[in-house]
Amino acid sequence: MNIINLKQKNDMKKLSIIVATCLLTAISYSCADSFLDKKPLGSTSEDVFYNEKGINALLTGTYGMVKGSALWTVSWGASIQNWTYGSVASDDAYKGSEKTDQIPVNEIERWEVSTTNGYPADKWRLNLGMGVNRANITLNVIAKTKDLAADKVKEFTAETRFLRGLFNFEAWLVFGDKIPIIPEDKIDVASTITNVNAPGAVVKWITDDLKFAADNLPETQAEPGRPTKYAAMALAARAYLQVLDYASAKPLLDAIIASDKYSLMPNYFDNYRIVENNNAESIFEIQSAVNDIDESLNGEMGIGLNWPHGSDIGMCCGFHQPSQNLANAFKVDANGLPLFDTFNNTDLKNDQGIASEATFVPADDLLDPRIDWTMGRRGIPYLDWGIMRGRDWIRYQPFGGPYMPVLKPFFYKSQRNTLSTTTGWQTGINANNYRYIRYAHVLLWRAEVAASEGDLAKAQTLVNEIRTRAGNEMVMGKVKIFALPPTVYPWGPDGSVDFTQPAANYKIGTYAAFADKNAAMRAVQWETRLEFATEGMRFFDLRRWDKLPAGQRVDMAATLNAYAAGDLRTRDVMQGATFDEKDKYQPIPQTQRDLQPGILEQNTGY
Amino acid sequence: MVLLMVLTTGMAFAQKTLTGKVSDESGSMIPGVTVIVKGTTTGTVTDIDGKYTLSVPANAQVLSFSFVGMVSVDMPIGENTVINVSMKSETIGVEEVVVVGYGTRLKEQLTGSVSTVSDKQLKTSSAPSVVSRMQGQISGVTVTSANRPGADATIRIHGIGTINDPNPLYVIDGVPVGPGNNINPNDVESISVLKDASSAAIYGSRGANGVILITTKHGRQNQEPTITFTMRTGLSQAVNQYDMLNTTQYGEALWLQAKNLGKVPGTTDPKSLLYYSHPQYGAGATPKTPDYILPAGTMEGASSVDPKLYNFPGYVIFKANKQGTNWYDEIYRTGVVQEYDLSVSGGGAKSTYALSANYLDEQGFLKYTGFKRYNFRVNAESQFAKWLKVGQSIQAIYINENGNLDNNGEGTPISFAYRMQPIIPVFDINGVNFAGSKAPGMGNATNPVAQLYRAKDNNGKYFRAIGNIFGEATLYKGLTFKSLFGYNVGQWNAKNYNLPSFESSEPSNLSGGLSVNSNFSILWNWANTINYTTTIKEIHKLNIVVGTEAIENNYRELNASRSQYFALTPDYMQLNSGEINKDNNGYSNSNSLFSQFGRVNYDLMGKYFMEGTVRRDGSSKFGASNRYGIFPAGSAAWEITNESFMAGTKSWLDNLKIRAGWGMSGNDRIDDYQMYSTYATNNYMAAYNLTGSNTSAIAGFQPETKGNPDVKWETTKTVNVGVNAAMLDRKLTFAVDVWQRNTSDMLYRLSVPEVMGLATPPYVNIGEMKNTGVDVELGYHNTLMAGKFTYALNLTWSHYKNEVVKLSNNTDEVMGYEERQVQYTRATTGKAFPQFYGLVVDGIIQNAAEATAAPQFEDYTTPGHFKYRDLNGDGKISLDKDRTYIGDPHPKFTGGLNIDLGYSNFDLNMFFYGSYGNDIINYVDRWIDYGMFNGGLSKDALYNSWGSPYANNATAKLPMLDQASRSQEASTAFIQDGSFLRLKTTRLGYTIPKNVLDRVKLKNVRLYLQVTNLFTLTRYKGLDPELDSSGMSMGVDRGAWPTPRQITFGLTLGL
Repeated sequence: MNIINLKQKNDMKKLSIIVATCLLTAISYSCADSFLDKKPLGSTSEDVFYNEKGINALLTGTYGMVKGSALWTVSWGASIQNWTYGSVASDDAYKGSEKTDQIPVNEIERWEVSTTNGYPADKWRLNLGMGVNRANITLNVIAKTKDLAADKVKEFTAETRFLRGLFNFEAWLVFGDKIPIIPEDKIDVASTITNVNAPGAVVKWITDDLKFAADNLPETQAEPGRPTKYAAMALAARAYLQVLDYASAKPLLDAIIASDKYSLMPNYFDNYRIVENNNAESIFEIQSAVNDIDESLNGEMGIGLNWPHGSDIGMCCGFHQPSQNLANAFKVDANGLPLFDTFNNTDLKNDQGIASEATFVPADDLLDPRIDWTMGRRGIPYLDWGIMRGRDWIRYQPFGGPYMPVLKPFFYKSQRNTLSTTTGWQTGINANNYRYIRYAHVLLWRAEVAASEGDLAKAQTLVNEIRTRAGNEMVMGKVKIFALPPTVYPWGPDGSVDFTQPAANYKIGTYAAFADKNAAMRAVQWETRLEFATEGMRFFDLRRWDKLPAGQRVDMAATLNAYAAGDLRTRDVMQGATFDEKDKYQPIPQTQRDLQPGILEQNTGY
Repeated sequence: MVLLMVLTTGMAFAQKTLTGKVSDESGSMIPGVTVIVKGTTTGTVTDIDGKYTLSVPANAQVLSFSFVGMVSVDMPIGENTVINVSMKSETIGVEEVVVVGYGTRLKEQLTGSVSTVSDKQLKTSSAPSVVSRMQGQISGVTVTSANRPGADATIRIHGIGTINDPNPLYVIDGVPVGPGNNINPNDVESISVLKDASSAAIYGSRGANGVILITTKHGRQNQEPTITFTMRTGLSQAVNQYDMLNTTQYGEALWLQAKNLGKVPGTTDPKSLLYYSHPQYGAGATPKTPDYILPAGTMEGASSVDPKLYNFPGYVIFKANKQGTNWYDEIYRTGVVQEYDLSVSGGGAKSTYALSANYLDEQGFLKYTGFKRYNFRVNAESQFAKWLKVGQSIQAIYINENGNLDNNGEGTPISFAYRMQPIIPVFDINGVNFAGSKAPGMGNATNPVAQLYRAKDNNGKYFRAIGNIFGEATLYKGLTFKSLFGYNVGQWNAKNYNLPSFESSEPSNLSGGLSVNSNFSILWNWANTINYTTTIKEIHKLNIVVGTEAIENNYRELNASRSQYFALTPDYMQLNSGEINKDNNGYSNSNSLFSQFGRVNYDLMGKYFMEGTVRRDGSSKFGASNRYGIFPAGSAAWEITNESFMAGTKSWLDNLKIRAGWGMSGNDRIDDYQMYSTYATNNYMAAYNLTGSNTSAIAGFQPETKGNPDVKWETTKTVNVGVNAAMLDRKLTFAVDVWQRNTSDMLYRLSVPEVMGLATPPYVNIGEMKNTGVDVELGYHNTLMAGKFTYALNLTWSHYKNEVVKLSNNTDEVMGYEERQVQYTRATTGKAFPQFYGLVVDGIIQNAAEATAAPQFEDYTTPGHFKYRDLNGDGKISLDKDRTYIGDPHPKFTGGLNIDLGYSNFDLNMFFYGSYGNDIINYVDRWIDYGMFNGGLSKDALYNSWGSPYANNATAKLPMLDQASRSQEASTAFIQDGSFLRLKTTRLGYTIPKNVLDRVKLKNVRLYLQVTNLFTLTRYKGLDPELDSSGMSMGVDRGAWPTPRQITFGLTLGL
């Protein structure tokens, strides 16, 4: 049954030709370079950015990093609000929540940070890995772009350098001088740059960028997310303050004040209201948006855990609760002035351990009204959410203490789902901007300069300006019921709250003339703590005040260790915790040191 | 078919005509039996009546009859012209023809390491995926099944060849497909697993992790239409739960924990550091279980629990479940599994066909979960002309899965069942709305029943068509040309509802949301091969294949989500009805491959076999300079029993073959476009709200990837030596393979210091990995009682040892896997990929003196805590310096044992599968033994922890219950032996005798009852030691779906 007979041989020839042709076609078609040449879809190469539109796109991508979050590349450890390093590590606030959630923050709270802790690693990654790198790429693209108008070059360069200064400043706050200085022409060799710097080199590196920005940025910006000349000046001033270079800070602060572009808002709490984002007091705000182009990831994800947990409000996850020490600091004397020396001897009455259903009468001590814009206390109206019900509203009181997560970045119940996110599980994310630098900062920094110079009148005027404004608004609604079972939510039966009365016994007074430089400095320092309490600055302020001359100096270790000791009256979390010199800076992430052996040095003491 | 073509062409020199008929044991005639003159290619097949006519050379000695599923028969020809044969069915499938890449081989001609799985072996299991059913059936592969409905399995062939995608290449009827291909196992005729590079090299840059060739069923020529209907139905249940504390015990545990933390419960002054109170259990010296947990700690009669106050979701009331909710009982159910399969096959003189339809409906043992699959297949071939055959194959698959099928993670329903406290009831007092952790002190878990219920309408609909069309022309005697065009088209649509969880302490999606994902993929391949077979002087048999293949793969996806829905009903919730967050997203990629290949196979006298292969691949995944790669391989085998000096062993040794092979193959499975540095827009990582609007942001660009123009495929070189033997009239068969695989140029994403930017670093061909192993297959079958009782044992045994030889030029380079800030696994030079990594526990510190003497771990080193070993001897414990390799998730060996017993019309199959020597880290322990978060606790936490009034401190299993994070560091305390032996399947079948069937005109009726997972011997304390987790998280149990027990009744009808 041979299938090939003579008759078929002709057919076979034809067939062979057809097959050969097919094969050749197949090979040549398939072999064509075009067949194996696949270009990336949906992304692009650098050369398309060499124009104004392209630079703007890269610059916007660089701006994206100021939020201090880039889920999930970094998590909550990179937040620009520095709620961990600036607030939890200080005497302002606790980690909150419960012991086993976000364990690395326990180490930060107790000043026991290990070099493998993921939180500082987040901060490093975001600021140096993403922020500085993106700014440098943008600067290089600006330089490579031909035919770009000179004013555009100036504008783009100034904005980019402002951002680079900000990223470096943030890294510097957390890690100190041991950060690598990476200019845009070293982008390809960044990994070979050591973090061991000459004294003063880092602050110069930061302020050079900011000074360039100040010299080239406009006085106002049409888009509030972009920095102005004054934003650059203010950030440079803050950088100088970190090294107590008052002389360099002073002219910058004076220039901002003299510009007459800014004023204090009528009410203290305007600085924490979504409806007052980008107001007359704002110098540079970190812009927040929710329900935007991609869910709510342009909100402040870095503080995504720091919202009420469970019970009537129920968000996530009850972190960053103000400390008892901070509550105590708001106590005032009969003149409405702080109890500098005695504030922490006894605790402002709290409801630790007391059930919501049980009776608890809030303290009737005289208090600075800013307390209830900062922290949610039992029996005090909690914005428009209702009477704060104490223990039931706290995730785990024995660990996190009696106060609600920090109130300032929160939103009103009436804004829920419009100005807060409607997606995901971190449902407290909202459109509240973080006032990174506001006019009150400038005034108090200027007051600090004045105090150090012995310009007592100036210090007095400025501090009193802040205090006067603080007295303009207080939480209204005197709660008249003292047992708060769930049935009272939100406001209890009619008559439970007298909304014509202040919620607590508020009083705030102004200072008479300061006796001396030291008294002035102490008043400024105290005011700085209260005005910006829980805003992520306290720890860094304590650190620089620790270097002031005797009399003005705040002994950081003594302050924090006294706080830890006193805190044992409220909870046992700080038992055995000791702050010492090494804890002033977070460790350089071990993973990065492993990747850059011999290049990155560890901070002292780790 | 190709073989038959070859066989039917070799009849030119006929000088004598033989006829005869072939019947089976029952006397029925068998069509399609291969009849060949032994030692030649002269042959034919029997016709529809089982008859054959064959012209043979005058000197022909022996006529050989073979048929799939029957024992081959050799008959001496002698002077006979009529040779009738009765064939017996084969108990153990020794396949005649083995599918290899771009061709077939007779089994005895194989030189490489190739294992086959027959359809009979596949029927041992009723798992929905083909890969799951391969578990334990062949050696040299490890298969771990996922247990959720419809789930696929993970398969590794000869160890783990790479830190990248170690999945083998799957080829179905000549078309490359991915894993999870969801074809109907009943449609599979045979599976060939190409285990070593000498057999896989023909697949070039894709063969390094082995190749699984799946051939679907075809009709046979001159075959009467065969209609087979099979059905099975059964029940599926989970068999394991964690032993959790009930409500009262939980309260006790809380009080124990408070005491461990230095509290003195009963202290009345809330200001005292000794004071302890719990929002539910009160502040007394002993815990008091309340009647209600919301309002917290309330007793019956309190005004706040008046049902009139109930107002959802503003004011809800949760009763305390005083007995304690058994959350496993609440999420488990008995799932019904059913499958129906109808197949028709047959063939005429010139055409064959095979059609099938299959429906599988698997309800999960978790509530509201399920998987439905519809398969349709048509295979048809036709001999158009004497020289031209054309054929096609098409399979259409439709899948509809629903419910929450998340697996092995702390946020899945299985995990929330252990994370929920027992005092929380399933529903609130209204009986319809759920209760949850919203009540104070209840932690942050999600009610898993609510989670399952809310996901009940979540579904994924998946359509896929896999098929090919081919033409095969015989150009000359022994010379054929085949052109095959294949396609694999998939369309996936998933819809997930994100509904509010008001009862949770951390409620999400309060206004309701919807996300929809859709993707489309199309792959086509065009393979052209020329195959030449010839026999020279009757002793030199030569087979040559040369060919080209082009493959292109395109993928596109579109994702969209919306939130804020006016009504939260599945019908109303569509993309168009969502009010805000109108987000859309997409992604596309494309890659292509062009290859040329050739293979020569030489058989000398049926004693010496040699094979050489080479493939040249060009891939779009790599830069122009590295686009092309060449993959050579060679192998040889020696059939010793055919040597004359072995004549003396013929009486007992049927076959002894030694094989050896060497080859190179590649792995190109990395993301596309690795050579390009790219920038991309990103709506949250590169966007900013510059305008100050509260609800919008402007998108910018970010550096996305850093390219490496030099990137190329990984290369794996394999050396394989094997022996096959058959003895005692082929009753005893034995195969052993010893192999080594060395992967070089292993792709590794170089860890780039972060100061270089966070763009995805490029793959660099820098790593090396080594695997060595031994595979054994052993079979024995025989009969007793004059053939009435049959039995067969089939054992597979596999061992591999994996080692990372190099990750990068930095010898300290490590990869790790972390869960909740604790690193569990690590891979580095000289270690397996991966190994467990952590601290070594030297018992629990019993007293203050011991604590002082122990190496100090910050302030943790106190009585009741672990004594960790100070490995570097600096007197203190630190995570940087005192962690080491503490366990190995890789088994020392895995094995399968099939036992088949038959008596009269009854048959019993038992299939055992086991794994020995692998460790598991049970991450679940961190939650239930150590109290991470305030969720459910294990009995051990209360009864067997240090300091418990119930425990003896000296022998306590756990350190004291105090939530100390240092107790939860990865350590030897978390390592458990994951060895197990499981009776996977027990099946009792009954075939209705033929004489009964003849009266009702049925060909075949078989009934069976099957129980899976009847028992498991293991020391593992988690839900299931058979854990489907691979890669860096291998061996970490995060709460995986356990293996269910299924009881199934099945029926097969042959018409």
